[in-house]
Parts: sequence; C-alpha cells; structure tokens
Amino acid sequence: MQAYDESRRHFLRLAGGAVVGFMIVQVTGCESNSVEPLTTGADVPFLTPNSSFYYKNGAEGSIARWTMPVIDSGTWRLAIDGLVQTPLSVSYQDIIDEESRSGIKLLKTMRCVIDSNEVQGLIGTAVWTGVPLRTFLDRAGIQTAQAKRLRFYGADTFGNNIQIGRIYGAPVPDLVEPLLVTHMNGSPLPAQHGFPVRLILHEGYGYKNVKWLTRVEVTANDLPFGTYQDEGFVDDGVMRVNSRMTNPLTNAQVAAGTIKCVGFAVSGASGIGTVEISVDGGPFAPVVIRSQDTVMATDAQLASTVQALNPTQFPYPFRAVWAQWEFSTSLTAGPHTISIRATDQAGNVQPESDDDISDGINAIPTVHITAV
Amino acid sequence: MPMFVSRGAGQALLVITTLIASAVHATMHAQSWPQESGRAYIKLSYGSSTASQQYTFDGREKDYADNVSGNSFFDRSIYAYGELGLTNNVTLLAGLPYKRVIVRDAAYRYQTYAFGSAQVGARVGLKPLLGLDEAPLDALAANVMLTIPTGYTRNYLPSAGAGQVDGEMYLSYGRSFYPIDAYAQAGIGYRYRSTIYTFSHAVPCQDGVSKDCFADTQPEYGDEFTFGLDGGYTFKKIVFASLMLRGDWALKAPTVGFSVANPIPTRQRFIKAGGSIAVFPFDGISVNAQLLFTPYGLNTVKSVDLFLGIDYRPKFF
Repeated sequence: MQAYDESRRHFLRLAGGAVVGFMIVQVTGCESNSVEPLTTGADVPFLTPNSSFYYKNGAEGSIARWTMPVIDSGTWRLAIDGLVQTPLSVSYQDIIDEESRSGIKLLKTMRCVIDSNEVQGLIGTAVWTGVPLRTFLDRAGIQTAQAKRLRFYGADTFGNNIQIGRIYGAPVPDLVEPLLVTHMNGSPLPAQHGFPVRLILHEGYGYKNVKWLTRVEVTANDLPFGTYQDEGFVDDGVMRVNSRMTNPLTNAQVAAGTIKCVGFAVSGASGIGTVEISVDGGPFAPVVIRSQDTVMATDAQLASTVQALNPTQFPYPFRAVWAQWEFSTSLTAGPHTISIRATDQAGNVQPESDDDISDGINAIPTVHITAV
Repeated sequence: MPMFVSRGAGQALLVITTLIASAVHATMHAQSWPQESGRAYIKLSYGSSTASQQYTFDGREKDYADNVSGNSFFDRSIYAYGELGLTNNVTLLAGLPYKRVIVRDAAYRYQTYAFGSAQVGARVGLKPLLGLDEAPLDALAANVMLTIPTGYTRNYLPSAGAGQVDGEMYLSYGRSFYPIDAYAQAGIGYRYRSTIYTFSHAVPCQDGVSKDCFADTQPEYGDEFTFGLDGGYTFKKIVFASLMLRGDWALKAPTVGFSVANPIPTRQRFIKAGGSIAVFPFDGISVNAQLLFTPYGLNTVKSVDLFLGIDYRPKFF
C-alpha cells in the first residue's frame, strides 16, 4: 500500500507539474498564416458574363427566413402607390412594351458595399436594359408638393429608397435616372439578379438596386429607409471612389523583370480622373486608363449603350463604370509592394485608411508580390 | 480496484470506460464515468472537417463563401487528448489541438497553422458525494472544463480559435447494460464564454486592406447550453460501435451572420449527429473512426467531420 501511495504521489507530482506548465506556458512559435491567390489574376473582362457575375443577397444576413423569390413574370405586378393620384399595377408586359419605345441600355458596374481589397469578387459590370421608372410615376401622377421619397420593396421584403429629387430634381448630365430593368447583358435577368424586374440606380452600391421589385411607395416621410440602412450603411449609397489591382494578385509570385499590372477603378460620384501607382512606397505616378475605343471593341453590345450613343453627355471614363488601367514596371528579385490610388473627376480621392464600412471600404489597396 | 466493487462490476466499469473513451470526441467531451485510480486514457487523432455550406443566423442553408459553390471551409487538425484517474472518483482531463484551418473566397485561400485552445478540467463522480449506491453500472459525474487559448493570433484570417477563455460545467449520467457490453449516457452543460482575451494576441489590421486578418473587436461571445447523448455496443469485445448526438445552443439566438472574413460566430446553435467505430487489436489500444454530420444549425458551419484516432489506456499507479 505504501509503495502504491509513493508511486501515485510521484506520478501526480510529475503530472501536476505538466498540467501547470501546460496552463502557464503559452504555445507560440508554431503559428503561421498565409494568403494564397487562387486565380492567375488574368485580365478581368470589361463586361462580366452573367454566369460569373457575383450575387450577394444582402437580405440573407438580415431578414429572417429569407428565401430567394421565384417569380412568374406572367403574374408579377409592380404596385406604384402612396402619394399618387392613380395607383398603378404594372405588368411585366407593360414594361417590355415600354422598353420597345423608350428602352435604355445602361452600362453600370455593380459593386457590393462590402466588396474590398480584403473581400474581393463582389463587383462586376453589365449592360442593364430597362425603362425609366419616371415613365410609370408620371402615369400614376406623383403628388410632388408632398412627396419626399420613393420607397422600394422587393418580393423578399428587402427595402430601399431614393429622394424624389433624384427623379424630379435638376437633371445631372452623366447620370441616368433610375430604371426598371428586365435584361442583363442582353438576357432576361437571371433569378438571382432579380427576375423579372429590378431597380437600377446608376450611381449606387448593390443595395440601392432592389431586386425582385414589387412595390414603389411614394411617401412624405423624408427619413432614411432600407434594409441596409437599418444595419448602419449610408442612405445615399453612392459608390465611393475605389480601385483594385486584378493582376497580379496579392502574394503572387512573378518573374523578375518587366511585369504588367492591370486593374480597375470606379466611382459613383463621377467618372474616374486619374489612377496612380506607387511601387515599394515610392511616389505615386499616373498610369494609363484603357481608351474608350479599346474598351468598346471588347463586346458588340457596348455600342448600343446610352453612354456610347451619347458621348457628349457621357464623357469617358464613365461615371459608375469601372475604368480599366494598366501599368508596366521592372521588378528585381525579392518582395515588392504596389499601391493603387484613384481620384474621380469630382475630386474624391481614396484615403490612406478607412475603418468605416458604412459607406464601403475604399482605402488605398496595397498588393504584396514576390519577384523570383 | 476499490474493495466495494465486485469482480463483475469492476469488469463492467473497465469495459464501460473503455467503450466510452473510444467514443470520445477528438476534442474534450464530458462523460459520466471517472477513470479508475491510476488509469490513463491517451488519444491522438486527426480531424477533418469540411464544408461548402453554412447555416445562416435563421437556419437557412447557403454557400459558406459568397460565389463559391464548392468546399470553402477546411479544418485539418491534430488533437492530443488525455485523461488520468487521480482517484476512483476524480479524473483529470486535458486536450490540445494543433489546428490547420483553411477558408477560401472567390479569389483567395487563407490558411492558418497554430496550436488552438487547450482544454483542462476534471471529472468528479457525484454518486459518492451524494451518498448514492456506488455500483458502477450507472454513473453521474460533473465535468468542469476550461478552454484556454495558447497564445495564437485571434484575428488571423482564419484564426485557430475565438481567442478568449471558456468555462464549462457539464453533468452527465450514464448507464451500463452489463453483462451486455453496451452503455448509454446523456448530459447537459453550461458554457460560460468570458471576455478574457489575455491568452491570445492580435496583429494590427485594417479592414478592407489587410488580407491576412480582420479587425480585433474582441466580441462578447454568447454563453451556451451544451448537451449530448450517446450509446454504444461492443461486438465480441473486438469491435465497438456507437451513435451520438451532441449540440451547442447559444442562450440568445444569433441575429447576425458571420463571413469568410470573420468566420467565428459570436452566437451559434448546432446539433451534430453521427457514429463511431473502434477496433481493439491489442489490449488497451484501440483504433477508431468517428463521423459526424451537422443536420441542424444556426449561424454555424454545416460541416462533415471525420476523426481518425488511436488511443491507449496505460495504468500508471
């Protein structure tokens, strides 16, 4: 019995010491973290095919029991009500008929407000075909003396708004008025992009472009309204100036020597003015933005967009459409950093840092690459 | 073996603790039977959790990462786990994972290697304390456990753990069906999720710019109920099979989701169900496999978890 007790005491001393040591000695030095690009960083096409166009259903994260609406265009109706003289119930065919008379093809980059250099891929550019919402608002007869805002509701209960002045205020030459859109890159809207009809707000982040639209309410309430606004995102939803390098991607390895870098910049406030690059912390120097001719040659349907048809009204680079840039530099073997800074024609410049996601993350991105 | 335990009952105890130990999840899992004095249980296992889907905060299924239709969450970790019977009534518990966690989005693959949170605790048999019949055919135990970060970087993308200390009390009742080599047990616990972040650290990180990390917000993780139910049977004392159900249930339902960029939910609920099989090729050693599915969840990864392990049951004193 005594031998048993001593054996146990001895063991317990060892075990106890091990446990205490285990608790107080932090296990460090065995940690590593890596971020590896999955794609080659090949050039991003100017028009994003529908099949690879991102979809981010913001309501998924904020509306309980959210499901993607599956809507029959034959029975779908858009209600226009509130402060109107004649409430309307608009059919899909009504919009298609109107498109044949006053349809507009708008070239627009759709960017999710959480798209960033950190969370990439939530951005793409398409040709959106639709008719001005105003066409139907005029038919309903807006009570303009009282009306302050239009509230939009999707079939998934996602909501948003615009101020009435966005349609009935002073026109802005390079800004297309809000559209009721039925087609994307020449095809009917895919289900995940809002079939049969979504709103397109030319300058807006994704959340301003309500999908599966079912109701437009004209209201005297002048307060911000919307699903994302409830989560703290800015009410205006104008895409802040932003840029990205798409090739090479962060942590890519490239051959030492001359490398070509490509990327894009976009702003909802105006067209892009300049894009500048800083290599290894050096001074920023402007890079070449691809010409309108180069861009327009990439896809035949671009020639029929409102921007291409009205070059005086829509100077290039276009507002709310990504401007693709390219730049070549010579790199010696070793690690390098490349920073990109965009400035739009309204004078908005990407900040050095940005911790406020409420209007999107748009700090100057820095790409880390290694030349070998 | 204590004097009050008959030979048959003692054999039952050994069988039961062996069976249950073989069903122990790779991470620490509360049980009903303490180890006998001097008996240890040591397990080394490899865990592979994979997911292409997540459960949203309200229970819907969606892609784990936006615009990625394939698998985008991978946890490939090695777990060391041990138990030691200090007395017939008190068992020390300890576990340590070496984590390799990978998440991906549409453009990048993010990977972290690190020791995860260590677990230490004790299992105390309650029947003697409560003056109940001490026959080992049934058992009631309190399991007290601490989860302590081992100094990893809590805001790496992805991180090896939540970065804070958890404490858990778990009551478990088990029943042996001796002389049939089978058992069943059930338990319920409460996990207090503290805001003690002392044992992990953070790197400077700017949202939207830094790609290897996320902002160190040190959130208040929601306390959870935990529960489990499992039962097993040994075929000819060589092959053991068990079925199990276990879950975590945040007291307050989650109201916001999580993302690839910050993949640790502050509140979650889930149920995992599955089974394990173990083979005893030598006395005191088993080789085992465990497969778990996630049939229900709120704000959690819908993963399939496979663990392959080998365990050993030495007697130290």
